[in-house]
This record gives sequence, C-alpha cells and structure tokens, in this order.
Amino acid sequence: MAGNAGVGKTCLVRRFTQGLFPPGQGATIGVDFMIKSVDIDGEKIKLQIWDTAGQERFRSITQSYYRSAHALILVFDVSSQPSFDCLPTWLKEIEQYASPKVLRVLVGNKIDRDDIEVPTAVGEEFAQRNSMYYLETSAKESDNVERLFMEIATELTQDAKSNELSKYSRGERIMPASSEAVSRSPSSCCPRLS
Amino acid sequence: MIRHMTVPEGTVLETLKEYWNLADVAAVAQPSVLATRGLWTVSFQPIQGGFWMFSQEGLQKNNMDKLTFYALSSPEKLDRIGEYIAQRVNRDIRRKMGFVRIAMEAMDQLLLACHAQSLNLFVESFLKTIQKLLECPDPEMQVLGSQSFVKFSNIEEDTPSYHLRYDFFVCKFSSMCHDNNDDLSARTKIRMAGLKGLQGVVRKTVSDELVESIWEPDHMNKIVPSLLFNMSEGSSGPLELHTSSVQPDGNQSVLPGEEKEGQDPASLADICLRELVARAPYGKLDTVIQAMLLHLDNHKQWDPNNFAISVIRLVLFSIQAKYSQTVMQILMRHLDLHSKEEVRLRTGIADVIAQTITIAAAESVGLSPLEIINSLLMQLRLAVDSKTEASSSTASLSGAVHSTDGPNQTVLEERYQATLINALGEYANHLPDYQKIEIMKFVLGKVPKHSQGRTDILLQKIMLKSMLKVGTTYVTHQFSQTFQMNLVEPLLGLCRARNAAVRLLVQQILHTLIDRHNNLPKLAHPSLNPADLDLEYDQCTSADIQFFKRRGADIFVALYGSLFMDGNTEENILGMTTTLSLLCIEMNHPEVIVEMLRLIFSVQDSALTSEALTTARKFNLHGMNASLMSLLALLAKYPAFSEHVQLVIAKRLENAPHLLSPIRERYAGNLSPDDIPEELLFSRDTVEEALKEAGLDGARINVPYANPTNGFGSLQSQQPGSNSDINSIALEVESISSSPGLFPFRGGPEEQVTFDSLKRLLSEPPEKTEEEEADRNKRIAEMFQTSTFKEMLARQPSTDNLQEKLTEIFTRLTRISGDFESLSISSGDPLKMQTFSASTQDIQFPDLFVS
Repeated sequence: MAGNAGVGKTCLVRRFTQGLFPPGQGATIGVDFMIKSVDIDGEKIKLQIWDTAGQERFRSITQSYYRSAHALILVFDVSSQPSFDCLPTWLKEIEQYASPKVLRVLVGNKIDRDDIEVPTAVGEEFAQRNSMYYLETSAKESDNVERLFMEIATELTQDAKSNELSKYSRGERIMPASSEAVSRSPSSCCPRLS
Repeated sequence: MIRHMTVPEGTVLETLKEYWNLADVAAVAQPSVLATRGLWTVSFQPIQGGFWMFSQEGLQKNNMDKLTFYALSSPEKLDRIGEYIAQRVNRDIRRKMGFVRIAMEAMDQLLLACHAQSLNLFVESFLKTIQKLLECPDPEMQVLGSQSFVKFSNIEEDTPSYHLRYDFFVCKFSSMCHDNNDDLSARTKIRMAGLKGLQGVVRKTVSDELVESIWEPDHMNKIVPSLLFNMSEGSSGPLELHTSSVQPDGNQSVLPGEEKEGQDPASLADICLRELVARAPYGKLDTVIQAMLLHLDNHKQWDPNNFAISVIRLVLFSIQAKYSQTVMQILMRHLDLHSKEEVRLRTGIADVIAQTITIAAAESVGLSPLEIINSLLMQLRLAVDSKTEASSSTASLSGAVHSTDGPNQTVLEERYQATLINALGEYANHLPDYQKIEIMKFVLGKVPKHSQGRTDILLQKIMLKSMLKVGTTYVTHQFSQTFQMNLVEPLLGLCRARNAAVRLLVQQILHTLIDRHNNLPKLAHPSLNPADLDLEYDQCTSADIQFFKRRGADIFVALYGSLFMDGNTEENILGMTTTLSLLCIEMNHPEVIVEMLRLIFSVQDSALTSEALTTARKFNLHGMNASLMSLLALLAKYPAFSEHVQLVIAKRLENAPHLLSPIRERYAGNLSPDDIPEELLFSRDTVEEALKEAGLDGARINVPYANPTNGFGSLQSQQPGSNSDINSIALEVESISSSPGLFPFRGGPEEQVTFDSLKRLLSEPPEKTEEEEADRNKRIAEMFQTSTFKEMLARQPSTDNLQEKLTEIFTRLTRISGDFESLSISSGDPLKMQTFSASTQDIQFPDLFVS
C-alpha cells in the first residue's frame, strides 16, 4: 500500500485483516506487515500485506518493498485534494521501483466523509489514464474494503494460473506496494495448511 | 552406550507419534523424576482423528535425546521429521503457544545436533516454520521466530543451499526494526528481534555465493535504513559513546557484544552495522553507502550532521583501510548530486567530508587523492559559479525572493566554501609530502590564468586559498624539489595577477613554501634590527645554489614586477618584504645577496623616479629596502656594507622615519617622495665597493631591472614563465661560449668552408682561431645586450639564401591554399615584416641564430 501520510492505509489493512477501525491510529513507522488468508474459488490464498509509511523520511525503505510486490494499492484521501495531487509522484516512484507487471489499484479512501474534494469521476479518470483499477472505500464504514482485497486476490490468482500454464509454477509471495502490499503464497503450500 | 538403545522402527510419522507417546508414558510413569529433571515435560491428550494435543510443561530432555539419537542414526529421515513438526506448528500456532515453543526448541536442538550434510531439507521445513511464526501477529511468536533464526544463522553450513530464499526474512525483520508498539518494552523486544534477525540473515548469506546476494540494493535499502533508524532513535548520547569506542578491527565477536552493549536497539544496530560494513566486499560497498546516504537524505540528517558524521566514521573504522578512499569518493559524488540543493545541506555534507577525510587520507595511494582533490575543486568552482549567479539574480527583477535572504545566503555560501577548503586542507595534511607537491601543482593548474570577470577573480582567490591550505602543511626540504618547474612558473605568473588580493595570497603561499626554519612568524613585520629576531638559518646547500642559478632570475624578476603592480596595498608590500626576507635567509649565499642588492637598488631607483606609484607606495618601498638591507647586513657580515647600512638607517631614523618600517597605508601629507637627500639613500658605489672588498663581483648590482612602470608589469602578467630579463640571457650566451668546441661549426659569413680555409685552419696557430672566436662571441653577446630587436633585424642582410628559400616555400604554400595577396609574407621582401605587429612567425630570425 502506498500513498500520502494520513490517507488511511493502515486503517484499510486493519479493517481487512482484523475487522477493526482503530480511531487514534498513529503514523506508521517504516513498514508494517499483516497477513490474511482468503478463499478464492475454493483455494486458500495467503495475502501478505506490507503497509508502508506515508511519511517522506521513510521513503527509501518503503520504496525497497515495491519490487517484490505482486500488487500495489495506491491510496489517496477523497476529502483531501493534496493527497490526490501527489498521485503522479507516487506513480513515478512505482514505475521506478516496482516490477512493470505489477497489478496497480487506485483507492480513494474515506468516502464516509462529507467534505469530499475529489469526485468519483475525477478519480476514475485518473485511474483510467494510468491504466489502474479504481475503487472507493471507507475503512471506517468498512465499505468496499473486503471487495478491494478479494478482487486483488482473484486477479492475482488468475495471473498466477495463466503463468503456471505457460511455464512451470512461479508462485511466490506477492507484496503490494506502498502502504499495503498483498502477497500470495504459493498454492502448493496451501493444501498442507488445512 | 546409546548405540545399544533400540531405535524405534517404522515410518517417521509413527516414530514421532511414538516419541510423543513415549513422552506421555514417561510423564505418567515417573512424573516426579521428570519434574526434578525439570527441563521439559510434554503431556498428550488424544483428540479426535488420532491427533495429539500438546500442553506445555517443558521439553522432556529424555525424549528429546531419543529423538535426536534417532535423527542422527537415520539422517535420511530428518527431512520428514522436520516436515512433521512444521505441520504440527502450523496447526497449533493459533491456539497452543506452548506446543509451538516446544516444537521450536525441538527443531533448534535437532538443527544443532545434526550434521550439515543432512540438514538441507530439514532447513526448508525449519525456515517455513519460522516464517509462519513471523507472520503471526503475536509479538511473542515473532520474537520466538527470530530467536530460532539467529540460532540457525550461527550454524556454519558446509554444504551450499540452493533453494533458500531470504527475501521474506529481510522484509519482515526490517519491518520489525520499525515496530511501533505502544508498549515500550514490547517495542524494544520486537525491534531487537528484528535487528538480530537481520544480523542473522547477513551472516548466513554473506559467505555463500550460491544464495541470492544480500548485497543487492533491494536488500540493502531495507537493511541499512532499518539499522540507521534504530541508531538514530537511540539518544545521541549512547551513540557517541559507541562511536568513540570503535574497535579498529571492526570484527568484534557478536555474541559477547550482545551481552554487553547490545542491550538497546540503538547499540545493537550499531554493532550490526559495523559487522555489515566490515563484511561488505569491495564491489558492494557502494550499495551499502548509497543506502546510508539515501537514509540520511530522507531523514534530514545533514544539518545538523552529528549523526551523519558518526555513521561515516563508523564505516571508515569498520572497513578495510584500503577501501576508505572509495567511501570518500562516494561521498563526493553525493555532494555532486546535491550541488543544486540548499546551501545548508551542502555545507552539512562538506563538513562530514572534512571531518572524516583524515581517516581516509592515511591510506591514499595512486591517483585517488587527486580524484578526491579534483572533486573538491569542482565543488568549489560550482560554489563560486552559483554564488555569482545568485548575486546577479538578486540584481534582476526576479531576485525579489533572493534579495531578502541575499546577504544571509552569501554568508552561508562563504561558509560552504570555507568548509570545502577546510576539507581539502585536512586531507592534504595527512598525505605524504611528495603528494602535497603534486596536489599543489594540480590545484595551481585549476587556477584560472586570466582574471577577467568577477568569477575568475573569486575562483583565483579560492583556489589559492586552497593551495595555501595545502602549502601550510607542506615542509620544504630542498627548493629544487618544492619549486618544480610547473609549480613555480604559474605561481610567479600569478605574482603579477591584476587583483591585489590574489597577489597577496600568492605571497602567502610563497612564504609557507620558502620558510624552512619557521622564521615566518618572526618576519611577519619588517624589522630594522633583525639580530633581535632570533632568526634561524643554515648555510645554503649546493643543491639550493643550483636551483637559484636556474630559477633565481625568474623569481626575482617576477617579484620585482609584482612590487609595481597597480592597486598594491601596504599589505602587498609587507607580504613582499617577508617573501624577500625569507629568500635571503633560506638562500644565504653571496650570489643571492648580490642579486638581492641588485633588486633593492632597482627598487630604490624606481621609487625615486616612477610616476605611476603613489607617494605612500614609494615610502613603503623605501621602508622595505631598509628592512632588507639590515637583514642582508646581518647575513652577509661584510663590515663596510654593514657600516653603510647602519649609517643610512640612522640618518633616516633621525630625519626621515617615514622611509623606514613600519610600513603604513598613509603618511603625513607634507612628505615628498621626490627630493630625498642623497645621504638618506643607499649608495650603489659604497655597496659595490664593499662587495669588492669581500671578493665579490659588485658590478652586477648596477644592472637595473627592466623598468616596470612603463607597462612591463601588465604586459608580462599574462605570459607567466617567459620573463627572463636581458641580463640573464647574457649569462647564457656566456655559458655557451665557454664550450668553444661547438663554435667552429657554427661558422659566420666570413667562414667559407673551402680548401683554403681548411688549410689555414691547420697552418695557423690554434690560439688565433680561439681569439677570433672569443672576439666574435663577445660581439654577439654585446649586440644582444645592447641593441634592440629591431636593430638586430635591420642588420640582417636581405639576400639570405635560407630566407629566400623559406619565402619561396611559403609563397607556394599560400598559393596552394588559395589565399594569395592578402598575406604579406608571400611578398618576398623580408624587411616589410619587421614590425612588432606582425605575428611571431612572420619575423625573420636573425641570421646569427639561424645559421
């Protein structure tokens, strides 16, 4: 997961992995790690989520987490125009450090708020222009949070499967970029989990 | 005796079940005994599906021994044992922490007990289990996992492992290093576990070339910032402490270290970083340092830069000394990258360089010092450029923002430059002497030759300041070594730079280079009683005399010229006095003294007659002369000379104190420099007489230096090095004539090589030929001394064979190139070209030299 400080990356992850919305969440330092297993078409998929700090001073370490990520969730705050304005910078960073094949998802968080500054259309347009998926969420109300991660998991599974077909399995962990990273553990180890 | 124990038979799974069962049985049978052994008890309860639930009371040593023995005797089973335990952990991790702990301990013990060859697959299960633990949200499990991993990392595997991937571990441990748990003790615990884990990963992978390289930027950018973050998080106090207690080998054993000083994350990170840097191979150092610099950038650690300094010091002390140059170069590159950034930041980086460069300097060999010097000079140049740009933009309309912080900015920029120069000096200070000379030459080569714009002058000043810094640390032994051709010539050229401040700097450089006996402080102010100064001096060595014979004339001419430059202040004259005094002291030799007297009298003449000099300067020059004379009197010890000097000085003291030192900027308005009575001046005749008495050729002092006031100075100032005066040419001609063997073959016009002439050569007494030769040489020498260049050309017969041939060739060449009449050279009349406006190659060379 990536995005400016305070857009709610950690809250999204917490909501998804633990079902919590910690109100007084402090700023993330460095990188946080969460794991969650989900069922996709009867297959157990382990998502490794790397929740990176939005603060500038941790940029060097957070960038280093992009490369091995399979999906990157770029988060901005729909009630904060500046957080949206920073997106191009983030994209540049992602292009520089992440693998070119990485799955990129744009998330506009905090849609529960009244003072929305970035309308859906604007976000969608931006995402389209940069060939990303777009989703609006609210970690507080738990809107779309589940869907966000489930869709990523589904997408990644399909990718992995088609790769498996073409070559032998390269199933590995997936880490999402910036604040959240999603990773998928190889399906080969899943059966033994049960 | 263990050998006679029966080994459980059957599949591994069954064996293990039996192992747990045995434990169960043992626990049931002899609980008290086991309790006293106290190490480990496991009790089992069968649950549905035939699996066992474990509840922890401790690992039962007895059963563990059995398991170990089994694993040892059937190593092929080890991988399946590992697999089984991993599965059990997987299942129990959510609910049964107790079992997880037991299982991990069992795995640890198996790992330690079994031989490396058989560990391969077991390790896979082991690492999988650790990953499982690390993925667990419970901090305790994470710490447990990292502890096991550290144990694993301490095992020296002798078989290479092809399949291990540490990517996850690096990611996770780095993440743990940044843990921000609300509970401080838990936070510390997790961070410590993360640091130890990273240490383990490094240790495990560093020596194994088959495993993915830990030195990839991908990993380094996680590991290094994590370490630095923890170091900077700790209060700066303990950090300083650790930095000062650096061990030069950098390879301290870590286990005792953990006990002693690795108790808080900061100090542990410190240890880890040392270890990491110490292990880094040469080619990978760059990655590590880059990661550090990036972190320092991001965390704004350059201003203030205490942390950065301690980190770089730590690096320099930990790595092999021969790599330290590389570190400095990386730092310089970093500075290059930031040359457009805010000046405070640059100053911070430069200061770090200045503070740490001495550590690196000790090991500098080859070209690397020059590279470092070069980058420092580049930065200086950039700094000067940006400064002038900034000031020009202040003047422009857009400079509104600048103008508010303009003065402040200038101060900061100057501080930046000073820091860089300081770094340069610090560095040079630690280099061996022969390299200092090289560096001075190098710096001098970078000084702009022409001082047109403000930038150039600024640059000249700054470069010379740098050079002064280097020169101050240099100790001259022999002048011929110090003042090498390509050092002395540009320096002398700069003696007549247009800017007075630049000239003063040159003098200061000369002071520090000439002064061998530390007399400089004593001579900072000219004195009339040099005997009181307690000067130290030796007799001049023959090598120095040789040097003087080769270079002396150039030096004196340059200094003489410098005295009469426009815009000289009293400080310039002061500097010059000191330079000349030092020269006298260091080259205490009659020849030098005579040359010095010649200079003094030339100066005296100019001070009397010159119209370009201001009154104050004229008095300054007289004052300088007085000081020099009294010094010479002390050194030379010619009674008549000393007497004369004392007499003149006494007269001046009485009647005209303004003609003596101290040298001042202003003098009372009513003093006239022109009609100074004879008795107040030094007398050529008296001195010449005194010299003759001492057995020296005093006549030389009568040969004046070229008059500097009619444009000599400014003309020459742009052509350093080409300034031997006429008199020194005469010397050379004389020296050639002293080897007469060569001369017969350079025959003049009257010397036709015919049978007759050869016959005459044989028949005539050789003395006659010699006489003729000597006569001719004398004439040549005289002609070159007395006649002007024009006159010499005029003597040239216009029908010269060689000249015609050359003209013909040139004509043809010009035709070919299609450029005809425009060139006067092709006209064939050599006299036409005898003007100074013609370029040098147009002027016909006098026959005397050509033939």
